[in-house]
Amino acid sequence: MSQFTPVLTALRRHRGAALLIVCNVALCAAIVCNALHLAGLRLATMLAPSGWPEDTVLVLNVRAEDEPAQTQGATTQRDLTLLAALPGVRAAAIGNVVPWGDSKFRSSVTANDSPPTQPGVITPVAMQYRASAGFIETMDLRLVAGRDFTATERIRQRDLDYGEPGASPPAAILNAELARALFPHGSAVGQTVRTDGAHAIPVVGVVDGLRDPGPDPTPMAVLLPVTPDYGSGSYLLRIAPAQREAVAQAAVAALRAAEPRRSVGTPQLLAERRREAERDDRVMAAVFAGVVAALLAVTACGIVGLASFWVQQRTRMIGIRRALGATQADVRRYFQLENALLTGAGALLGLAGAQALSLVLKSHWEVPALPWPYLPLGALVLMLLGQAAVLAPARRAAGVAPMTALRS
Amino acid sequence: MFAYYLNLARRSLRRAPGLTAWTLLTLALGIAACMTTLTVYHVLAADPIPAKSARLFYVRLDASGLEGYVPGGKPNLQVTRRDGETLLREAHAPRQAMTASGGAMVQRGQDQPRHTEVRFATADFFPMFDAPLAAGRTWSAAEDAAAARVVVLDAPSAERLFGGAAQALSQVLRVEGQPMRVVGVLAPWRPTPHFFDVTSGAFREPAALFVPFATAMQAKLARSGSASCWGDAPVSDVTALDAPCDWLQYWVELKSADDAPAYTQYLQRYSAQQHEAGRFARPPNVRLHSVMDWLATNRVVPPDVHLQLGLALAFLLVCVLCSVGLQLAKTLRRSNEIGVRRALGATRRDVFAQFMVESLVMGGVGCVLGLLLSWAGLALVRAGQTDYAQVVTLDAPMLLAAMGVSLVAALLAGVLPALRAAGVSPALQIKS
Repeated sequence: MSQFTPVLTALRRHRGAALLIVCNVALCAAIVCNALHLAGLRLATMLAPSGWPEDTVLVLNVRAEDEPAQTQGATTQRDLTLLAALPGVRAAAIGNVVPWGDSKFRSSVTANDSPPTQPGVITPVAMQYRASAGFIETMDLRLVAGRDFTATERIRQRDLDYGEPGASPPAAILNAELARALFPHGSAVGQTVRTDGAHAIPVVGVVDGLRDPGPDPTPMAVLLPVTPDYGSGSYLLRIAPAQREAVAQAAVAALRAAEPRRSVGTPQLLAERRREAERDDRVMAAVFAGVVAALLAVTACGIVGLASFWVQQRTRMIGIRRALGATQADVRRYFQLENALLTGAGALLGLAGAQALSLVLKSHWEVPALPWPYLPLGALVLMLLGQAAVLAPARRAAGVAPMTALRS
Repeated sequence: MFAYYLNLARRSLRRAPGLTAWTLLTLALGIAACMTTLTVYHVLAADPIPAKSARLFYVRLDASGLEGYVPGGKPNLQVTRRDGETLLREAHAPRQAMTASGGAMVQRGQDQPRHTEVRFATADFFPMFDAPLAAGRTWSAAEDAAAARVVVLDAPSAERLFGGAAQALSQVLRVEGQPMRVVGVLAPWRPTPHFFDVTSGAFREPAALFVPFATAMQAKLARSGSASCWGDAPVSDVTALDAPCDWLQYWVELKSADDAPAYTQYLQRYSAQQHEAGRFARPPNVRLHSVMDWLATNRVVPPDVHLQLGLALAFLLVCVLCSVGLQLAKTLRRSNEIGVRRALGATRRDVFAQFMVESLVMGGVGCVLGLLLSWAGLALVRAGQTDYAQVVTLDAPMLLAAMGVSLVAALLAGVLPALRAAGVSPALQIKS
């Protein structure tokens, strides 16, 4: 503790340089805290469980090139039978949209007995999944109430879109979020809902799942027994992860053989689609990590530079102290203590800066507030960095022989 | 004197190669990070049509039903076909165009039909957006009205299909099976951002084939891009004349930005009429966006790019602070030299000037190194799969900016050490 006074006295004589280090550390701490937080947010999205069977569902897109629309419905049915029979395929279905896909289908859903649309009343908007039989099994959805669709509760998407006016989905299954929002006081099964201009669709079941992943997610969802044609949907195959390659090849070959007048895309696991969809997050997480590394390296470099400068400048002082009986360890500790004081002050200032920066980020980019554990973490990282950076100059100072110092 | 200082700077930088290299690397890293992100920002935030951007306006009307209506809310993002066609007919502005994206199978002769991106547009589209013609002409308003079977091709498609712009003229393409004659070919054209339609990617290329709007409707070409419908009745065809759906972009070109209030009033009157007639459920609520305003409203520059720019600027600041430290260390080592110069008659001002020249040299070298690094950085950006990867390049203004940034950074980094050097007193140093 007796070392404090000389350290402070020396610092007072180098206000400019001391201020420089403090500013440098403070700025670095402020940015490092926030960059770590931002990187953490991206990592959290990438690691968050989605609730979808990512590793066991293969997605296959097929585009109609030349096949006329009239025969596409029958082809779709034949494809599904073929795909379900392939070795390694446990279930097969076709759906209008897939999670992490290029498009989303949202529509507002209301309880049938609720009053007609009113100004100022915002109706729940839900993802609308239209899928063939077998979707619940393929996507591993858990029925929490009611039942799956029966074979008679089914309509072709084409008939719904271009068929008789007033054609309507015969039944609906809600996910738990939508069921709770529409029928907070009782069971949704047995009630009726309204969506897309269709009235009184009976709710036959409630499933756990179907939450839309990704940015701007829609947690509520409705599943309708509306079978899309292959040209406007995606085939979904439930497989064992080990058989991914074999199933993918067999499925592509089978679809090509069944109807050559179309192009078959490359099958992808849901997990692979997720990786693609989260590319930007991955890149940004890497950018933030890179910024942290570069900042720390540059700051360390600056600390080494200034510490060396001081050691050199104070050769005479070190010599005198050594001649008066200070040990090498005393001299080393002197510089380490000085560094700890400076980086400590910088880190404290940096924490205030980190909070300020976090407020700016929050107001401009809707970034959530900086959680407090990042503050001590950032401070600790910079203190350790300072000690590591000052080690070499401090050793050099400790190595100054009393006589050389006095002679110069 | 300047040359002498340059010589001194060269010698001094050589004397401490390690320290010089560190300082330069620090500066160059900061400059590179800054220039890479600044270039991306510069490209993404660019004005796609600088000569006209202030007098081209995007029209929004509030045509939705009452569901979810909040007074003072935002009008629809696009216009309905009925509104678009009415505004077009009334032709209240010097020029106006209605446009949307679509797709069609396009066939040349007996070749395999190929899926092609199509832009539906009305006649004024080309002169309004300064689309450059390489050959032929664009279609007229009369051809618009008659739904003439004419199309305009973009340069790459004309080259691919017919081997050039001139050869493509008067050729017939089958678009969804219907014969249409090529009357014009555009010169290479890539407005960045793709401002006239940002609904499906703001940095994509314009469509390959341009078809008159009425023709596209008559030929039942498929539309793409975003559309939103309202009301309780099921909608089977979004493109039907009276479908309660917005899916069209409507633009007007005014004589000057000063005419905007008058045009807004016209839109207000139009909306009020529609409201009274019962077509618009909501009271009049219109918006007129200039090009840059429309791009900003759509957040065409991704928020991530803003964040990266901010981070890079902060990083440059830290780099400058660090190189101040490093240069201070170097200055002190040279106290003897400075003392001698001072004793021989150099004033404090001379010493200060000498050190600033040295910083200038550092700035120059740092700029070159920084540009090399940012070139690598931009190669990384282009290798990424962002939708703007293709359009990011370093242009002349950015090179100038790089020089400016480097010099300012280097001079800022040099002031404190130079002041310190100028403060060295002659006597003390000579004695030792």
